[in-house]
Order: sequence, then structure tokens, then C-alpha cells
Amino acid sequence: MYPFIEEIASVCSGLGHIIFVHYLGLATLFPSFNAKILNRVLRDVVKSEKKGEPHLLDLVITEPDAGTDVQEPFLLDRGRVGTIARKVDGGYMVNGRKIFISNGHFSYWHVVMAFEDKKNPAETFIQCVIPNGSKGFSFGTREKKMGHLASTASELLFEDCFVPNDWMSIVCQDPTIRNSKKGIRWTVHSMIDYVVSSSRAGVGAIGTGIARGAYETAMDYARKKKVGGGLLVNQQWAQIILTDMYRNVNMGRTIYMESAYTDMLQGLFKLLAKKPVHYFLDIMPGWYFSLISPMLSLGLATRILRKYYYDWYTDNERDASSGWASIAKYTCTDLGVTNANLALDLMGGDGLRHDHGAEKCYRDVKLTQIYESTNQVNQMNLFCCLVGNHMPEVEFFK
Amino acid sequence: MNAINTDSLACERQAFADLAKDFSAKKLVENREEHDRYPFGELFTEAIKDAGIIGFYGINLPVDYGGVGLNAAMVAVIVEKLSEVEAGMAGIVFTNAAALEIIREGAAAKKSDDIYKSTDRFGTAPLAFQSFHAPNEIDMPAAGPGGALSGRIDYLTLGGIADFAVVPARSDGEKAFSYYLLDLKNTNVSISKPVVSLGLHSCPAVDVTFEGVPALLIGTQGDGENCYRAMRDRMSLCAAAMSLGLIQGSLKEALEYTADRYQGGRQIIDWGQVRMMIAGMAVKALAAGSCFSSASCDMDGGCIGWEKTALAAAIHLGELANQATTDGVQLLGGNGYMKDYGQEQRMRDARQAQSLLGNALFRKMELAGQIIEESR
Repeated sequence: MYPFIEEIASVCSGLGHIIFVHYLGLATLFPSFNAKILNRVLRDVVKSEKKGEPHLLDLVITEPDAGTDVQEPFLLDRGRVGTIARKVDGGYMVNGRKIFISNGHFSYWHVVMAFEDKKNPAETFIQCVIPNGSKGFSFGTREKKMGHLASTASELLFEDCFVPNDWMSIVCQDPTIRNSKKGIRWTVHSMIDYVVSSSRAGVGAIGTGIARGAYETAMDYARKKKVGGGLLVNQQWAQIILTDMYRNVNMGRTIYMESAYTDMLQGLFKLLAKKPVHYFLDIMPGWYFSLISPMLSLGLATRILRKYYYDWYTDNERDASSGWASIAKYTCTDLGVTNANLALDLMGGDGLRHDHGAEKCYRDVKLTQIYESTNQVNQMNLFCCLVGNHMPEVEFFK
Repeated sequence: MNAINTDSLACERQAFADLAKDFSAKKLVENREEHDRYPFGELFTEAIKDAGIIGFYGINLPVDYGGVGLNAAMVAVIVEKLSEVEAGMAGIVFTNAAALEIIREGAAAKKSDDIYKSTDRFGTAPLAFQSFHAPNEIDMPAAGPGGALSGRIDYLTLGGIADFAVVPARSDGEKAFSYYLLDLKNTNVSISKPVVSLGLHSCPAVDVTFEGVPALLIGTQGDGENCYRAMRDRMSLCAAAMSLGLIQGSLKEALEYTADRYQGGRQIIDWGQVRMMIAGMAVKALAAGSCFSSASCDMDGGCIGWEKTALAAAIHLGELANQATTDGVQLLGGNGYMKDYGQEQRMRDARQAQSLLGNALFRKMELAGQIIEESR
């Protein structure tokens, strides 16, 4: 998946972002391990794609006063959250405003984060799925961005939006979570880390894709541009710059793949790496979908998955997958910014023109240092997970 | 304020700084976002006109021809102040001043002011000029007998709004080139739609093609390189001023935003890493101001080697501005990436301004060449 995202992003990171965010929505829904909802949503996604009217997913989390706070478990309790889900007969009533929602206007299924008590968000966390057309749900403005112009960053509005219990994918007060072996807070922390461990490597792939696009654009230019009677590509200093750019692309790819392997072994995808499951998926017969798959709608499937992914999840596993995802995210996106700058350095005034490609890389790549938590928050997360995690005197996010 | 020294022109500098600040507040702040959308939004044509009325296009034009008769250091004062708010207008003032510097150098070499008498548009409307490319980076148009020009000029800044352009051209079989004053309203001049660019959107550029268009030779035949170098030496200070203004604007915005925004239960300005990034921006702003002041004093005082100092200042401040404006976006987080705030525009503008007077890497190599030559 990640190399595919890199490939698309090397030409248009806006399009790469659209595809990536769809999978980000899935990666957010998966860690709810609510097998019933997953089964229904994914079947609809496949069916709608075959009809030529794809139903994309998005992740609806950022709020006007809570960006980093709602993405970082350590800060959740200190955040000024504003999207509240109130228990009513048969479901929840959601009220609030979400901003910067990638794919917001493009998506059909919105995976929404809310809270029952704004004073205790970490223990009253709610995740629900809201489809287009739901009463009380509407689209607000589309943000005007510097880059990634192919995709949208949307405002989503919830005014007494009723969500039936059937679409509540995570409710902290649900017995499978409230009574989980390690407690609500640990479970919410793990759930968030499952999401970001897979999504941040994806952002790394986008950053690497842009780094590659910048490199290829600069190389193409240097092979044609004449300077002082010779080609730019034959200037020694230009060769060094191009070599650095090539190095950066390969370094980025190596790092996000390392994060992907870690996630496969110790994160969200670890069940798929178990040999019986892995081989079964290879030979999965067609009758699985008609006979076995419907059983996922039974509550038992959710309980088993949650037992496996929440209760049996270890600190070491979580630290490794989350830590490596942060390494991938902030390293690859920094490398992307470096390459976009180097391309513009090499191309000078010619690089400023939109029709020459490099300026798009420059505008696009900056976003990757910001979303999926800023690179600085990722650095802090890495410190928490893999640098200072075994040092009792160390305090985090103080 | 960095360009304001305690020399005999201190009062004039202060007056121009105040004028630019006042002009920015009244003409550029409102609808900044709309102007930045050009060519997909409206260009601030009224502001461009008003800048001419208050004299921003005649700072380095001789008094006898309606100008103020001062040098590029005074242009730098205006450019710095404008850039803090809206660097596009600074780009317009810069481009016009660069063209006037070429004309001034040519007139001095020829010992004739005739070129100034060719039109009454000097000082009132901006001139077009290739301010983002050095002559050695482009395919030069051909100058035929009698100064008729044919060829193409890519990325001619202000070419879509100016009446006249200062362009380089080379006669058949000659290695040296000359500068010419070209009437852009001539029917044989073809002007493209505005080029969509990274930054400085309100200082637009176009591609221009022309066939046998009569043009006035600036200075003496084949003296283009000398004119260009003299212009670049002086205008480097203005390029540095634009970068400085962008750094200062970014720091101001970052301070305001981080004091206003709360995350993790406190103002984000109180988070250690945020404070460290602001410190980094402040160090850049102070160092850039100091570097600029020093280069300005060297130029005004005619110190030996002031040309190299100015060139180095332009290159170095360009790099600092690129870093500081990028950090500014990071400090504003998601909001920094959105056009509602001015910071993403500063980031693009700073990157664009880094290429003023040509590719910075080529300028660096040229500076290295000069220093190595002198050391031998």
C-alpha cells in the first residue's frame, strides 16, 4: 500500500492524499474492532466502487480549538474538545464542529470522534460512523490551502445529529472496553496509537513521493538546461545536489517500509502476519464471504478481536509501532521538504513557474510536516515511545 | 527600521519607512488574500497606481526627470517595510528600481541623459524587467540593425502591466549584449497570459515574444554585462531587504498566533519546543537585520568590497527568510497552511524572492569566483 501511495504522490500528492485519506478512514475504523460495523461499511465500499460511485471514508477528528490535543493521548485530558455525543434513546446525539477534514466533501462514510464529557475526554471517548445524508449533519466551508489543491480540507457540522447505536463503533462505557484488562485509558491510548502507527507511515510515503517528484523534475531540468556553454547536469556541484536528492528518496522509502514492517509485526496488521491467517487469506474461497463473513456481525467477533488487540497488546509492541511510525513521518516529510527546496535551488527562476512542476512539490510537501500531528509532536512521541520510555525519572509532555 | 542609519539621509530614510508602512496599512492589508490569488483574482491596480503617485517608482530616478534622485539603499527601506505586510508590492518596486538602475548605469556610461527623455512614464508607472533571471541564464533575443528586437523573453516581471520594459538583446555574431528600452504597446509585441508562479502573485510575470520591434539602446553597444553587474551590486541590498521584511513579518505573526492559541491546556507559546522555534526565528531576524545594516552602511560609505557584502547579504538573507517563513507556517500548524492567515503567502514569497537577480546558486558560484580571483 505505502509504495503505491508513494508512486501516486510522486506525480500528484493531492491525488495521493485522497487515496491515502480513504485508507486513513479505514485505519481509524479498524482499531474499533467493531466487526459488525466494519463488515457493513467495507461491503458498501466494495459495492459502491464496482458501481463506479465510490464511497470514500474520512477521519473526522480535528476541532477549531483542539488539533494536537485530540491526536495525542497524553494531551487528551487537557484539550478543549467541543464535539459532544449525548446519550439518548436508541443512540447518541452529536453536536459540534470539525475542521481541516481531509476528503470531507468527497467522502460518504465519516468516521467521527466525539466525547461524552468534555471535562473527561480520555474516559468518555466515542467513535461513530455517520454516512452522508444523516439528519443534523452538513458540510461547511472548504478551506483555502497553499497546496494539495486536488483534495479538500473541509468543515463538517453536527447539529443534533442522531447516530443510532448500530453505528457507534467505540463507546468507552461499552463493557468490552470499560472492563478491558488494562482499563479505559490504556485502551483509548492503544486505539489512537493503532491509527497513527499505520497512518503516519502513509504520510511518510507521501513525503517520499514528493521528494521523488522533486528529484525527477530537477534531474529532467538539469539534463536540458545549459549553463556557461555546458549542461547543468555536468556541473559537479549540481551532481552532488542531485545525488543528495536521490539519497533522500531512498532513505525515505527505507524508513517508511521499516515502519510498515514494524506495524505488520507489532501493530495494527499483526493478525494478518500470523501464518494461518496469512495463508488462509491467500487461498480464501468465495464461500467465505457468504457463509463465514456474516458471522462477523455477531458480538462474539468483536469481543475476540478486542481481547486480542487490546488486552493482549503489550507496551513494547505499542512503543515500537508508534515510535517507528513517528520516525517515518517526520523523517520522510523533512526529506520531502529538503528535496523540494533543492529542486527550486537548482532550477532558480525557472523553478518558480507552475508549469515546470517544482513549485507544486514545494507547496504540497509543507502540509505533510503539519498533518497527522506536527513533526514536533511526532518527535515528542518518539521520545516517549523509544527514547525515554524506560527511564523512570523522565516526564513526557510537561 | 534596519535600513535607517544615523547618516545625513537618516531623516529621509525614516520618512520613506513611515510612508511605506502607512501605505501598507491603508492599501495592502485589506483584501490581501484576494490580491494574492492573481491571476485567479483581481490585481490591486489602484494600489499599483497609488504607489506611483506617492513616488515609489522614482526613488532612484534623477530629480531632473521627476524622480527623488536617491540610491538603491533608499529603495531598500521601502521594500523592507512593504514586505513585512505584502511582498508583492515590494516586488513591483524592486523590479522597477532594478530597471532604472540599468538605465542609470547606461546613461552614465554613455554620458548622455537622452534615454530619460524618451518617455514621460519613468517614475509614474513601473517598468518591466526580468528580475528573476540573470542574463547568462536565458536565451537572449536578437538585436537587428537599428535596434529592432526579435525573439522571446520568458518570465518578464510586470510585462503584463507596464508600458515599457528593459530587456537584454545580442546582435548577430556578437558575444557581448546590450540593454534596450522596449515599448510593450507596440503591435508586434505579443504578451502571454500571466504566468502562474509560486509566490509574489501580485507582482506578476508574463512571457513576451516580439518580431522586429524598434527599441532604444541603453548606454553603449555591448555594455550590457557591466550595466547588469552594477545594477545587481546595488539591488542586492533591496533583495536582502525583501527577505528581511518577510522574516520580520513572520516573527510578528508567530508571536501573535502562539500567544493566542491554546493546546495541551496552555498557550502554545509556553511549550518549550514552540519557544525554541520562536527563538530560532528571532535569532534569524536579529542577525538578518544586523547583516543588512552592515551591508547598507558599506554601500553608502563606498567601502572596499561593498559589492561582495551586498551580494552575500542577499544570498544569506534569502536562505534565512526561507527557513524563518517555513518555521512560521509550522508554528501556526494547520492554520499556517491556510490562506486565511498570511503566513503561507510569506513562505511562498520568501522562496520566490530567493531567486531575485538570478539563481542563488549561480550567484554563489560567481561570488566564490571573485573571492578566489582576489586571493591569487
